[in-house]
Amino acid sequence: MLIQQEKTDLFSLLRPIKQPKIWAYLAWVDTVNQYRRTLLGPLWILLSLIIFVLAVGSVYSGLFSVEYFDYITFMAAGMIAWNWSSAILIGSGTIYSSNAGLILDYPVNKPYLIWSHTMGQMIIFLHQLPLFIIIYLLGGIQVNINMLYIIPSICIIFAINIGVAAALSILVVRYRDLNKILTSLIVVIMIVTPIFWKPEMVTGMRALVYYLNPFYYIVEIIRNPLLGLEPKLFHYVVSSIIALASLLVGAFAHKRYSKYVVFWV
Amino acid sequence: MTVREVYLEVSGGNLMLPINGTEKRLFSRESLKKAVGGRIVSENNKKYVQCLKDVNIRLESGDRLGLIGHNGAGKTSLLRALSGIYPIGSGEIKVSGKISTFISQGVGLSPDMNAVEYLEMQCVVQGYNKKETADFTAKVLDFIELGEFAYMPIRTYSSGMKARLMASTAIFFPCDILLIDEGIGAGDANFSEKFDKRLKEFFAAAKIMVMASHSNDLLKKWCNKGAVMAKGEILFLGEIGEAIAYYKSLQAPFFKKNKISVGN
Repeated sequence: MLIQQEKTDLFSLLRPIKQPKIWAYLAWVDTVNQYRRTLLGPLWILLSLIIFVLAVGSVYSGLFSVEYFDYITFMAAGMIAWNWSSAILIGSGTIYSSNAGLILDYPVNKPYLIWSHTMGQMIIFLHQLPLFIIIYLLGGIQVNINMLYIIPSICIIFAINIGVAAALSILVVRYRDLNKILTSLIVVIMIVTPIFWKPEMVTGMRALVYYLNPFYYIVEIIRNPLLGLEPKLFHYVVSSIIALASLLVGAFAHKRYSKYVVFWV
Repeated sequence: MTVREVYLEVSGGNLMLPINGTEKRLFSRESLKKAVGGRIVSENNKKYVQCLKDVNIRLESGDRLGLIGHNGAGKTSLLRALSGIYPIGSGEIKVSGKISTFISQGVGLSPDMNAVEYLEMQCVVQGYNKKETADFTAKVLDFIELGEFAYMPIRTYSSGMKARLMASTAIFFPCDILLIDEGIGAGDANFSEKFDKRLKEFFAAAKIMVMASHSNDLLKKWCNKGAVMAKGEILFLGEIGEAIAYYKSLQAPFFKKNKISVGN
């Protein structure tokens, strides 16, 4: 339950998996609340993505002298993946500070807040997929079996989000500068991650820019299935390792420090 | 179903609240002697407020404890420690029974939701199933008499209507141990009577209650025991009438001399 005193151990972070109803519901309510009193509601996310991709795509396809439609589908898939991965870094920090009232007044079982936040991010991600359904219907990309790989990819990113959010939410609430640092860092990461450019455009030692960049693997496992490309085992192995590592760090951070969050919010 | 013994016990409870972001600021000697608030102590260059100091209480079924004390005496901190919101630094808290905490009302209230959605959300948070949620929602809606407003966004409610909704939601969730800060109250004279009646049933159903309040009338009405607190310590623990009398006897010298004289 959300409001419940609980001893924290290493598995506390994962326990909400047994009660998906609660965090899924909270995420749903949060999402619905964001769209109240707006005319287009969830369509806004999709619309802004389309506008961004069409506009920026026309500039960059010219710069790289590549075919326009190919380029914008590549970029759209990359942006959808990037929107979620960047939110893992930027959004996680506010989980506890935005629930300060709840944390100060009730014995909140904090992992539920992390799961509901992650679920919220996933809902936003799912909002953007209709763009690809339109592209498929227009015949831009042939529908194929590779697209089903999106399911394990979503599970992996969900796990990464849980782990990173558990650790970052505590760190940011204690050290408020961290969110400012992350916000300025995220633009740099976006530029060095292959979203606007294709990995094969960068060769030699420069390729390390993406090989050493965890975001590259996260983006790839979402982008490839969306484009119907064959999945690469290497990407899945690395991103699964990232998921395990972040869950481990998150679980430790949660076990050790989550009880002090109430002092810091 | 076996009947569990319900109890709440604190032994040697200490709580030091870290103050972050004030490391560079100096606390003058004068401010340390202020009458209100807990003691500010320094340890390894870090400042802390000593919210609770060696608190020992054991409450059993039937106990209704009133917490008495000036602002910052540690009443809310004790409630937060009892409910598990604050992790106590040393000492031990043992609890048997389901705890409900009312430190403030209306957390999680979004102005664009309506009353029905608010009630449903509270039920999900409590882990209710579909049928329990429907029953609960119907019961509370019937009680608060919001009429058509139950389906209007909460931002259109008057503050009295909001209070009705939030306070009534709270007193329909059953619990064994009730921790309340500054009482629960709602609505106009007409509703207040109905609310008080329900509140009485609710309080009677709880096996243990701890209430912090500045109102002696409220404490006398609902409590049978009293604890007088100052600077995080419990100075007196006993029958509620005696506790109030003890607190009154403290008050005069307390504010004149800026220090507490405890009996001896």
